[in-house]
Amino acid sequence: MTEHKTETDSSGLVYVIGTEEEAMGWIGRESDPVEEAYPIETRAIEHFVEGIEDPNPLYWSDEFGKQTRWGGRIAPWGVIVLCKEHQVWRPEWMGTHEGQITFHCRTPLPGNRLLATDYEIECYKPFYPGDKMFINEKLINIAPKAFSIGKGHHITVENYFRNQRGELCYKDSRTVFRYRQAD
Amino acid sequence: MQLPEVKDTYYEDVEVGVEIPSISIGPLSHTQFVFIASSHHDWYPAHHDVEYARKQNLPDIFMNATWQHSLIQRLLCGWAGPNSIPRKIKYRMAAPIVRYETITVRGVITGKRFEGGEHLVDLDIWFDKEDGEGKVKEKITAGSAIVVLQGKG
Repeated sequence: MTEHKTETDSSGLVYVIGTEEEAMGWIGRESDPVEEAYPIETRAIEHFVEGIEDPNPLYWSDEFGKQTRWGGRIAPWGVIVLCKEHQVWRPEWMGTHEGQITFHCRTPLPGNRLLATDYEIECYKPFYPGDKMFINEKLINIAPKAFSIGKGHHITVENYFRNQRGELCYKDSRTVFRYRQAD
Repeated sequence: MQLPEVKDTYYEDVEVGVEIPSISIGPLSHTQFVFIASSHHDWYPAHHDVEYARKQNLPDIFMNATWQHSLIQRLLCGWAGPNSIPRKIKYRMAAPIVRYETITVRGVITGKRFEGGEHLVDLDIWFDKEDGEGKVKEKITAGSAIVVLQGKG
Protein backbone atom coordinates (compact mmCIF):
# COMPACT_ATOMS: atom_id res chain seq x y z
CA MET A 1 0.00 0.00 0.00
CA THR A 2 1.36 3.41 -0.98
CA GLU A 3 2.26 5.70 1.91
CA HIS A 4 0.50 9.04 1.61
CA LYS A 5 1.12 12.41 3.13
CA THR A 6 -1.63 13.52 5.50
CA GLU A 7 -2.74 16.98 6.55
CA THR A 8 -4.84 17.83 9.60
CA ASP A 9 -7.15 20.82 9.85
CA SER A 10 -7.72 22.73 13.05
CA SER A 11 -10.80 20.65 13.90
CA GLY A 12 -8.68 17.49 13.93
CA LEU A 13 -9.90 16.04 10.61
CA VAL A 14 -7.10 14.16 8.87
CA TYR A 15 -6.95 14.31 5.06
CA VAL A 16 -4.99 11.86 2.94
CA ILE A 17 -3.27 13.84 0.22
CA GLY A 18 -2.91 12.45 -3.32
CA THR A 19 -3.86 12.99 -6.93
CA GLU A 20 -7.16 13.01 -8.80
CA GLU A 21 -6.00 10.12 -10.99
CA GLU A 22 -5.26 7.98 -7.96
CA ALA A 23 -8.57 8.91 -6.30
CA MET A 24 -10.59 7.85 -9.36
CA GLY A 25 -9.31 4.32 -8.82
CA TRP A 26 -10.95 4.34 -5.39
CA ILE A 27 -14.50 4.72 -6.72
CA GLY A 28 -16.56 1.69 -5.72
CA ARG A 29 -14.54 0.91 -2.60
CA GLU A 30 -16.60 -0.17 0.39
CA SER A 31 -15.57 -0.21 4.03
CA ASP A 32 -16.27 -2.90 6.61
CA PRO A 33 -18.95 -2.04 9.19
CA VAL A 34 -17.60 -0.12 12.17
CA GLU A 35 -19.40 -0.04 15.52
CA GLU A 36 -19.80 3.48 16.83
CA ALA A 37 -18.02 4.13 20.10
CA TYR A 38 -21.17 4.67 22.17
CA PRO A 39 -24.75 3.43 22.07
CA ILE A 40 -27.48 6.00 21.48
CA GLU A 41 -28.14 7.87 24.70
CA THR A 42 -31.33 9.53 25.92
CA ARG A 43 -29.43 12.58 27.11
CA ALA A 44 -27.82 12.96 23.68
CA ILE A 45 -31.27 12.83 22.05
CA GLU A 46 -32.58 15.56 24.35
CA HIS A 47 -29.46 17.67 23.82
CA PHE A 48 -29.94 17.36 20.08
CA VAL A 49 -33.65 18.21 19.91
CA GLU A 50 -33.15 21.08 22.36
CA GLY A 51 -30.81 22.66 19.80
CA ILE A 52 -33.41 22.54 17.03
CA GLU A 53 -36.30 23.43 19.36
CA ASP A 54 -38.20 20.29 18.37
CA PRO A 55 -41.25 19.77 20.62
CA ASN A 56 -42.06 16.31 19.19
CA PRO A 57 -42.93 14.21 22.29
CA LEU A 58 -41.65 11.07 20.56
CA TYR A 59 -38.12 12.29 21.31
CA TRP A 60 -38.84 13.54 24.84
CA SER A 61 -41.09 10.97 26.49
CA ASP A 62 -40.96 7.20 26.93
CA GLU A 63 -44.61 7.26 27.99
CA PHE A 64 -45.64 9.01 24.80
CA GLY A 65 -43.55 6.63 22.68
CA LYS A 66 -45.31 3.65 24.26
CA GLN A 67 -48.60 4.91 22.80
CA THR A 68 -47.22 4.82 19.25
CA ARG A 69 -46.28 2.03 16.85
CA TRP A 70 -42.68 2.34 18.04
CA GLY A 71 -43.35 1.22 21.60
CA GLY A 72 -41.06 3.78 23.19
CA ARG A 73 -38.99 6.90 22.72
CA ILE A 74 -36.94 6.98 19.50
CA ALA A 75 -34.02 9.03 18.19
CA PRO A 76 -34.95 11.77 15.71
CA TRP A 77 -35.26 10.21 12.27
CA GLY A 78 -32.09 10.18 10.24
CA VAL A 79 -30.08 11.95 12.88
CA ILE A 80 -26.91 9.94 12.90
CA VAL A 81 -24.81 12.18 15.11
CA LEU A 82 -26.28 10.88 18.34
CA CYS A 83 -23.69 8.22 18.94
CA LYS A 84 -20.85 9.76 16.96
CA GLU A 85 -17.94 11.51 18.55
CA HIS A 86 -16.05 14.06 16.52
CA GLN A 87 -12.70 13.27 17.97
CA VAL A 88 -11.02 16.59 18.53
CA TRP A 89 -8.47 14.81 20.68
CA ARG A 90 -7.74 11.29 21.88
CA PRO A 91 -4.73 9.86 23.73
CA GLU A 92 -2.16 8.55 21.26
CA TRP A 93 -2.30 5.08 22.83
CA MET A 94 -5.92 4.69 21.69
CA GLY A 95 -4.90 4.86 18.03
CA THR A 96 -7.29 5.40 15.11
CA HIS A 97 -9.09 2.69 13.19
CA GLU A 98 -9.03 3.32 9.44
CA GLY A 99 -12.75 2.68 9.29
CA GLN A 100 -13.39 5.64 11.58
CA ILE A 101 -12.15 8.02 8.90
CA THR A 102 -14.66 8.70 6.15
CA PHE A 103 -13.85 8.27 2.48
CA HIS A 104 -14.43 12.02 2.22
CA CYS A 105 -11.11 12.44 4.02
CA ARG A 106 -9.15 9.26 3.37
CA THR A 107 -9.48 9.21 -0.41
CA PRO A 108 -6.15 10.57 -1.71
CA LEU A 109 -6.87 13.98 -3.23
CA PRO A 110 -5.21 17.41 -3.14
CA GLY A 111 -7.93 18.97 -0.93
CA ASN A 112 -7.46 19.63 2.77
CA ARG A 113 -10.87 21.16 3.62
CA LEU A 114 -14.53 20.04 3.35
CA LEU A 115 -17.82 21.75 2.66
CA ALA A 116 -21.11 19.77 2.46
CA THR A 117 -23.30 20.51 -0.57
CA ASP A 118 -25.86 17.73 -1.07
CA TYR A 119 -27.56 15.30 1.27
CA GLU A 120 -30.02 12.48 0.74
CA ILE A 121 -31.30 10.02 3.31
CA GLU A 122 -33.71 7.10 3.39
CA CYS A 123 -35.18 5.92 6.69
CA TYR A 124 -36.62 2.45 7.29
CA LYS A 125 -36.49 1.75 11.01
CA PRO A 126 -35.88 4.00 14.02
CA PHE A 127 -32.94 3.84 16.39
CA TYR A 128 -33.83 3.62 20.08
CA PRO A 129 -31.93 4.74 23.18
CA GLY A 130 -29.46 1.97 23.97
CA ASP A 131 -29.15 0.81 20.37
CA LYS A 132 -25.71 0.31 18.93
CA MET A 133 -24.99 1.67 15.49
CA PHE A 134 -22.84 -0.02 12.87
CA ILE A 135 -21.84 2.04 9.85
CA ASN A 136 -20.18 1.12 6.60
CA GLU A 137 -19.67 3.35 3.60
CA LYS A 138 -19.13 3.17 -0.14
CA LEU A 139 -17.35 5.68 -2.35
CA ILE A 140 -19.79 6.44 -5.16
CA ASN A 141 -18.30 9.26 -7.23
CA ILE A 142 -15.59 11.90 -7.55
CA ALA A 143 -15.90 14.87 -9.91
CA PRO A 144 -13.71 17.97 -10.37
CA LYS A 145 -15.48 21.14 -9.26
CA ALA A 146 -14.74 24.81 -8.64
CA PHE A 147 -16.53 27.26 -6.33
CA SER A 148 -15.68 30.75 -5.12
CA ILE A 149 -13.79 29.33 -2.15
CA GLY A 150 -11.47 27.28 -4.34
CA LYS A 151 -10.94 24.39 -6.73
CA GLY A 152 -11.40 20.79 -5.71
CA HIS A 153 -13.66 17.80 -6.08
CA HIS A 154 -17.20 16.75 -5.30
CA ILE A 155 -17.01 13.44 -3.45
CA THR A 156 -20.19 11.38 -2.99
CA VAL A 157 -20.20 8.69 -0.31
CA GLU A 158 -23.08 6.39 0.68
CA ASN A 159 -23.41 5.29 4.30
CA TYR A 160 -25.40 2.36 5.63
CA PHE A 161 -26.55 2.48 9.25
CA ARG A 162 -27.51 -0.79 10.93
CA ASN A 163 -28.52 -1.64 14.48
CA GLN A 164 -27.19 -4.46 16.65
CA ARG A 165 -29.67 -6.87 15.01
CA GLY A 166 -28.20 -6.11 11.58
CA GLU A 167 -31.34 -4.27 10.43
CA LEU A 168 -30.79 -1.44 7.96
CA CYS A 169 -32.25 1.63 9.67
CA TYR A 170 -30.96 4.46 7.47
CA LYS A 171 -29.04 4.84 4.26
CA ASP A 172 -27.65 8.20 3.25
CA SER A 173 -25.65 9.83 0.50
CA ARG A 174 -23.46 12.81 1.23
CA THR A 175 -21.72 14.95 -1.32
CA VAL A 176 -19.02 17.27 -0.07
CA PHE A 177 -16.76 19.72 -1.83
CA ARG A 178 -13.19 18.85 -0.87
CA TYR A 179 -10.89 21.69 -1.75
CA ARG A 180 -7.45 23.04 -1.07
CA GLN A 181 -7.15 25.94 1.30
CA ALA A 182 -4.74 28.51 -0.01
CA ASP A 183 -1.46 28.55 1.96
CA MET B 1 -46.90 17.71 33.07
CA GLN B 2 -49.57 16.91 30.50
CA LEU B 3 -48.50 14.64 27.65
CA PRO B 4 -49.78 15.71 24.23
CA GLU B 5 -52.21 13.28 22.64
CA VAL B 6 -51.03 11.02 19.82
CA LYS B 7 -52.22 12.78 16.69
CA ASP B 8 -51.39 11.64 13.17
CA THR B 9 -52.12 13.10 9.77
CA TYR B 10 -53.95 10.48 7.72
CA TYR B 11 -53.26 9.79 4.09
CA GLU B 12 -56.91 10.10 3.16
CA ASP B 13 -57.03 13.66 4.55
CA VAL B 14 -54.05 14.93 2.53
CA GLU B 15 -54.58 17.08 -0.57
CA VAL B 16 -52.05 17.70 -3.30
CA GLY B 17 -51.06 21.37 -3.62
CA VAL B 18 -51.56 22.17 0.06
CA GLU B 19 -48.70 23.76 2.01
CA ILE B 20 -48.02 22.09 5.35
CA PRO B 21 -47.50 24.24 8.49
CA SER B 22 -44.07 25.89 8.30
CA ILE B 23 -41.57 26.14 11.17
CA SER B 24 -39.21 29.00 11.99
CA ILE B 25 -36.11 29.30 14.11
CA GLY B 26 -34.00 32.37 14.86
CA PRO B 27 -32.60 34.95 14.81
CA LEU B 28 -29.70 32.52 15.30
CA SER B 29 -27.32 33.68 18.00
CA HIS B 30 -23.66 32.76 18.29
CA THR B 31 -24.65 30.75 21.38
CA GLN B 32 -26.98 28.63 19.24
CA PHE B 33 -24.13 27.88 16.83
CA VAL B 34 -21.94 26.69 19.69
CA PHE B 35 -24.82 24.69 21.16
CA ILE B 36 -25.37 22.94 17.81
CA ALA B 37 -21.65 22.19 17.45
CA SER B 38 -21.80 20.60 20.89
CA SER B 39 -25.03 18.64 20.43
CA HIS B 40 -23.90 17.37 17.01
CA HIS B 41 -20.34 16.65 18.13
CA ASP B 42 -19.40 18.70 15.08
CA TRP B 43 -16.41 20.86 15.95
CA TYR B 44 -15.47 21.74 12.41
CA PRO B 45 -14.33 25.31 13.14
CA ALA B 46 -16.29 26.94 10.32
CA HIS B 47 -19.42 26.15 12.38
CA HIS B 48 -18.37 28.08 15.51
CA ASP B 49 -15.14 30.07 14.91
CA VAL B 50 -15.83 33.35 13.07
CA GLU B 51 -12.16 34.13 12.45
CA TYR B 52 -11.58 30.68 10.93
CA ALA B 53 -14.66 30.94 8.69
CA ARG B 54 -13.60 34.31 7.31
CA LYS B 55 -10.12 33.01 6.57
CA GLN B 56 -11.86 30.39 4.40
CA ASN B 57 -13.49 33.21 2.35
CA LEU B 58 -16.84 32.37 3.96
CA PRO B 59 -19.10 35.23 5.08
CA ASP B 60 -19.43 33.95 8.66
CA ILE B 61 -19.80 30.76 10.64
CA PHE B 62 -22.56 28.62 9.13
CA MET B 63 -24.90 25.87 10.27
CA ASN B 64 -24.00 22.31 9.31
CA ALA B 65 -25.84 19.93 6.99
CA THR B 66 -27.16 17.83 9.87
CA TRP B 67 -28.82 20.86 11.42
CA GLN B 68 -30.60 21.48 8.13
CA HIS B 69 -31.64 17.83 7.91
CA SER B 70 -32.92 17.89 11.48
CA LEU B 71 -35.12 20.91 10.78
CA ILE B 72 -36.60 19.16 7.76
CA GLN B 73 -37.40 16.06 9.81
CA ARG B 74 -38.88 18.36 12.49
CA LEU B 75 -41.10 19.97 9.83
CA LEU B 76 -42.21 16.65 8.33
CA CYS B 77 -42.68 14.61 11.51
CA GLY B 78 -44.37 17.48 13.34
CA TRP B 79 -46.94 17.63 10.57
CA ALA B 80 -47.28 13.91 9.80
CA GLY B 81 -47.47 12.71 13.39
CA PRO B 82 -45.59 10.22 15.56
CA ASN B 83 -46.52 7.11 13.60
CA SER B 84 -45.18 8.46 10.31
CA ILE B 85 -41.78 7.76 8.72
CA PRO B 86 -39.84 10.38 6.74
CA ARG B 87 -38.86 7.74 4.18
CA LYS B 88 -36.71 9.93 1.96
CA ILE B 89 -35.29 13.43 2.30
CA LYS B 90 -33.09 14.97 -0.37
CA TYR B 91 -31.78 18.52 -0.58
CA ARG B 92 -29.11 20.82 -1.92
CA MET B 93 -27.61 23.63 0.13
CA ALA B 94 -27.01 26.64 -2.09
CA ALA B 95 -26.13 29.31 0.47
CA PRO B 96 -24.75 29.29 4.01
CA ILE B 97 -26.99 29.93 7.01
CA VAL B 98 -25.15 32.38 9.26
CA ARG B 99 -25.58 34.26 12.53
CA TYR B 100 -28.58 36.52 13.16
CA GLU B 101 -30.60 34.98 10.33
CA THR B 102 -34.10 33.59 10.86
CA ILE B 103 -34.88 30.39 8.99
CA THR B 104 -38.32 29.28 7.87
CA VAL B 105 -38.71 25.72 6.62
CA ARG B 106 -41.63 25.08 4.29
CA GLY B 107 -43.18 22.17 2.44
CA VAL B 108 -45.92 21.68 -0.12
CA ILE B 109 -47.59 18.38 -1.04
CA THR B 110 -46.90 17.43 -4.64
CA GLY B 111 -48.31 13.92 -4.83
CA LYS B 112 -49.74 10.91 -3.02
CA ARG B 113 -49.79 7.23 -3.86
CA PHE B 114 -50.29 3.78 -2.34
CA GLU B 115 -47.22 1.75 -3.15
CA GLY B 116 -45.66 -1.40 -1.70
CA GLY B 117 -48.34 -1.51 0.96
CA GLU B 118 -47.50 2.01 2.17
CA HIS B 119 -49.34 5.33 2.01
CA LEU B 120 -46.74 7.66 0.52
CA VAL B 121 -46.90 11.45 0.21
CA ASP B 122 -44.46 13.47 -1.90
CA LEU B 123 -43.45 16.99 -0.93
CA ASP B 124 -41.24 19.80 -2.13
CA ILE B 125 -39.33 21.28 0.78
CA TRP B 126 -37.26 24.43 1.10
CA PHE B 127 -35.68 26.98 3.42
CA ASP B 128 -36.21 30.74 3.26
CA LYS B 129 -34.01 33.01 5.33
CA GLU B 130 -34.28 36.55 6.60
CA ASP B 131 -31.17 38.41 7.70
CA GLY B 132 -30.93 40.78 10.66
CA GLU B 133 -32.03 43.70 8.48
CA GLY B 134 -35.18 42.04 7.15
CA LYS B 135 -33.81 41.06 3.76
CA VAL B 136 -35.33 37.76 2.60
CA LYS B 137 -33.72 35.12 0.41
CA GLU B 138 -35.94 32.27 -0.74
CA LYS B 139 -35.11 28.61 -1.31
CA ILE B 140 -31.52 28.78 -0.13
CA THR B 141 -31.85 25.07 0.55
CA ALA B 142 -34.32 23.13 -1.55
CA GLY B 143 -35.26 19.54 -2.20
CA SER B 144 -37.93 16.91 -1.88
CA ALA B 145 -39.27 14.37 0.57
CA ILE B 146 -41.38 11.24 0.74
CA VAL B 147 -43.29 10.57 3.94
CA VAL B 148 -45.08 7.36 4.95
CA LEU B 149 -48.41 8.29 6.55
CA GLN B 150 -50.96 6.27 8.43
CA GLY B 151 -54.01 5.14 6.48
CA LYS B 152 -57.49 5.00 7.98
CA GLY B 153 -58.23 1.55 6.61
